[in-house]
Amino acid sequence: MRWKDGLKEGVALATLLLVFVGLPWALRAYENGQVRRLATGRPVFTVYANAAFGTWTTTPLVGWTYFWRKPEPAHIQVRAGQPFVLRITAVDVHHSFGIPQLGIGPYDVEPGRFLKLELKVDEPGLYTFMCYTVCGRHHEKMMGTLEVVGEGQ
Amino acid sequence: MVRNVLVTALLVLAGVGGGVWWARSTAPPQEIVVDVEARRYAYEPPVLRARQGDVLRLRLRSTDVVHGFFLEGYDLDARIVPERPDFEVWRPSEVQWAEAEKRGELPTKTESSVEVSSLQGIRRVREVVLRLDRPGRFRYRCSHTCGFMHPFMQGELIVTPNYPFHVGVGAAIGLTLAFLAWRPVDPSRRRGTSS
Amino acid sequence: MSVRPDVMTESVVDRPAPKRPYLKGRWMDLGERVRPLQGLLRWRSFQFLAILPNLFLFYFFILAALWGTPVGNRNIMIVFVWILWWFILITLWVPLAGRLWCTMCPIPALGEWLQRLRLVTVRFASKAKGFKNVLFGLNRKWPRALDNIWLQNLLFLTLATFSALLVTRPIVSAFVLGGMIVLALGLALVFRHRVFCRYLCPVSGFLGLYAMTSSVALRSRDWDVCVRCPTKGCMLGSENGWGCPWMVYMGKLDRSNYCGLCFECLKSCPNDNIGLFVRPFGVTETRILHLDEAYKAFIMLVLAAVYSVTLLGPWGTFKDWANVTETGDWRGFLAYAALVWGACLVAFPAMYGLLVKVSQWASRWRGRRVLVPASASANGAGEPDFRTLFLRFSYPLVPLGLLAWIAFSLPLFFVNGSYIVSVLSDPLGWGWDLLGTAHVPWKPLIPEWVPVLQAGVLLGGLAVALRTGWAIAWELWRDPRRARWGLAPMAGLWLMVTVGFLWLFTG
Repeated sequence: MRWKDGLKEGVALATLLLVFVGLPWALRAYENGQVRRLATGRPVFTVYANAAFGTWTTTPLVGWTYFWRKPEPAHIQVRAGQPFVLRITAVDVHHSFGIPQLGIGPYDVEPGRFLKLELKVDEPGLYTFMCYTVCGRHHEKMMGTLEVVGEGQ
Repeated sequence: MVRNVLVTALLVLAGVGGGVWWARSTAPPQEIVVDVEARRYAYEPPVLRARQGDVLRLRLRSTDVVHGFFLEGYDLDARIVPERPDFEVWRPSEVQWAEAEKRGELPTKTESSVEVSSLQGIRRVREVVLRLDRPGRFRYRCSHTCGFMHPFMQGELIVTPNYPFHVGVGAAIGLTLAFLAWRPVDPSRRRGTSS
Repeated sequence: MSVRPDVMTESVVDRPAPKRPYLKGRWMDLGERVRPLQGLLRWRSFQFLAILPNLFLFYFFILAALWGTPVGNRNIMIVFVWILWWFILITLWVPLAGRLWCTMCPIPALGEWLQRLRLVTVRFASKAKGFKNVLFGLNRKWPRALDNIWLQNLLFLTLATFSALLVTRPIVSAFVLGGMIVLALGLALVFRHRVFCRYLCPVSGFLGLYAMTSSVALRSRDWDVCVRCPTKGCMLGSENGWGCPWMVYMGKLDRSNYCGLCFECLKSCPNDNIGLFVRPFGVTETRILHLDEAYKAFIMLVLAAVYSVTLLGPWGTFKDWANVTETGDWRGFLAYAALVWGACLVAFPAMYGLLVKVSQWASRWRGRRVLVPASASANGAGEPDFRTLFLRFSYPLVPLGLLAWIAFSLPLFFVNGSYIVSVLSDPLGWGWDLLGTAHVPWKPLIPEWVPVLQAGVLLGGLAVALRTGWAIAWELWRDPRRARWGLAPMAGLWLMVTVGFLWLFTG
């Protein structure tokens, strides 16, 4: 191989490898940056609304997990008086999110879009969040829990 | 060559004329009341037929999840929430649902009926009234993501005279007959033909 | 028949007219006209650089399908592949540039690079061996029995049966596209050259069919030069280029079906005898030679109708059948699959064959008292047999089918094009807003005019099919009356197909 050819091959191969490694890293890094900017020190919970099982879940429902992972109902734990952020998205149809006991919502949750809620609950207790728009056969059982833990607990 | 072009032009024109004649209608206008039921991923009835000048009274329902009803050509969009007798309508050229929702400008009370031509902002109604002054075939499509096949959820409103179809068929017939009447013109080949 | 080359350069004028049997109408040698283009195509890095961005995008789409939202219209995999890429492919690249997609297709690239052990440059064993290609792998030859596009036809039909899942679920798209990469890679290690592209790739199947009728074609400029050529670098490879990975011999090439426009022969030809030609769309001179190709034309035409019914139609039942993983209606899906396969492989070919038979009878009956002219019978014209008619009359279905596909694809873009804008800012549905367009609402573009556009495209397709069919009938019978009678049943079929699509799109 002539040195010029070798140089060309080397540059081409380096470009390939760089992008193959770099692209996933860049995607992750950008996403983490976005979440960090949103969080500003507060805990962030991402909740996925799923009509097929009728669940709010914190199990990430993305392309490759959506079809064969049975989502567990969300159970979110925060400390009383501590601000936190909920990122809520839907993976299939239109849902609405609300926590009746706290007078939060209902907010529309659109498929593939993110609803961001900045919350703070002072009163310890077990709160249920539910879906306010009929979203299919399992609409009624679509519930998740927000557990607010008091100081001493 | 000139003859071929002339024959083609004449026959296609004849076909277009025939199509226009075929499409015409003289029946008096009527009022049509339709209950449209949306489900994943179709509307029932899938096809609405009417004539130009008719008045269409539409009632929209959903049997499963939130659907939309975006009607081409008539500047109408709707949001249909399941298990409700009413639905929200607006003109998509003026209002966008997502923006209005963000600004908190969603309607709170339900009206019995609204004319599309006098529609302003987003209204919640039990019935929407369309004066079908525009002929043609218009599709109504789901405008709220309702599942995997959402982009393909659609029905059609056919308001006769539907010129594109009838004129198209007429022109196609004229074109076919014209080519059958064509004569060979290639000078290098002409000698080969027998008398 | 005199040959009329459009471009006469000095070098050509000095010598006798070049032998170009494929060239009958108006053709232009693009490489002669635009010298920088010839230079670009001969540049060794050209194909690598054309593939590179597509490979990255492809990789990005697969990552988006795995990690991004499963909502199809919010995931770049679905929106960019099945709205943007498909629309550009079928309305621009295929009619104007034939297999230009194959030039930049990333799917077989990994396999080919591994075969060559090179990304950009050429590798050859020794001059003593005559610049023969040295390819990594088992270097097997593809079995002769499979040297046709039947496998492509079947694979395409299989994919088409699941198309409602393929074009709506990002993960299914990722598995199919990723699977194609793996398959191409595996085959490249076992067999010589691009057997995946040539014999298996479902996209390649219809690109090859429609490239027949498209405006761009790669050809040898003068067949006599190829006959005299001692090295046959285009087949065997040379210092400057690899031997044809598509297993095409340029010295005899007169159709575009299996030329993948990789432009290696432009580089490897020692005589600068390969040119990129431009010709009018819907050429009449090319022909379908084998039954597998005729069936490809049937399958494509029928599938355009099937998709128009299931995807663009108003009827929910068909959508439920096709969308089987959600509805669970496997019996309906089987009925749907049987309908699709039956229509493509049995019903349409049978109806077509019957009309060909009618055409044969009609022309024979009309010609019962006509003396076959001596010039015609010398050419073998006058009394074509059924097989000849069946194959020759299947070609007009190619432009007809392509324009039906274009008509089918118009609403995909005009109606759902706005998803492209919003997905650009949020490619994975992760709530990003890169360009500030993430919240651009879904808004169809002039949807009420789409049926008018579709009707125009369909009529254009019918006109091209009729013109092509007329030329074929004339060449077959060499007698205007017999040609007219022979053409009539086929023209009736094309009219019927056009009216059927008009009904689906505008009725």
